[in-house]
Amino acid sequence: MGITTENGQPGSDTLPGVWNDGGGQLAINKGKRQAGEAMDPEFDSLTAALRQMHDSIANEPVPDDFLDLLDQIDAKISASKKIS
Amino acid sequence: MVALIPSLRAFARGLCGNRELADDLAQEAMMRAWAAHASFTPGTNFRAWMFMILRNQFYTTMRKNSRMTSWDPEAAERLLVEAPPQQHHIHMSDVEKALQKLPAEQREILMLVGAGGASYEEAAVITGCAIGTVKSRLARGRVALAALINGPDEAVLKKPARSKPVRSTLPKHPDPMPSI
Repeated sequence: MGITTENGQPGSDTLPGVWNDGGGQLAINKGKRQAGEAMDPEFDSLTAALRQMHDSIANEPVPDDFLDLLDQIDAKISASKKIS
Repeated sequence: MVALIPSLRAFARGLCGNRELADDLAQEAMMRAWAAHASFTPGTNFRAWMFMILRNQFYTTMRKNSRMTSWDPEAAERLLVEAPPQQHHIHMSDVEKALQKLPAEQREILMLVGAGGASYEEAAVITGCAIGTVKSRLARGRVALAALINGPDEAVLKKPARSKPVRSTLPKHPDPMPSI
């Protein structure tokens, strides 16, 4: 987080206590940045959140019924090869 | 086809917002793809073809069972008016919930391009619309999604900085058909 003096009087002796005010507004653009490991400075938080959602689903172990289905399809493929 | 299962599941989940329904959709799409494999043109984008089948499956199922989608224009309108409390961090569950409140036409583009990293060209092939339509739906979807997540004050998130992703310079159908 960058230090901002926009909330303080420049040169004011209260500055050290002031610069954190309003800092919460900055969080929107730094949340979930870790989703893109190749830290693209232009990568925005909304895309990062969508990517993270996608990846969390895509990284789930593939359920067994998908593998069963693939086996069925494989069986059909080899059956059709025998015919031809 | 094996390699596509994770992204098919993720796209399906984004479309319907429900794990069981999404996996049913993805499996249905895989069976349909097998049944229709003769209609696939070798050398064209197999991934896009699979996503297209999944998408068709989603809309067919949605028409059959209108309860499957939570999309309700009036409800979405109300949600846009009733701002959720200000939040500074984007939570995954918020994103998933908010996605389901968007029109399906925006949701699918956000899932393909925003979440899945598809090029505009690929998303256009999958959804059967023009690249310009993909871009405008993406832009509208982003604004609506940001509004649902952050409240209207934060709706004007900065636009995608890379207006032309590097991927979009790839040939239109870069993927050879992987062995099933």
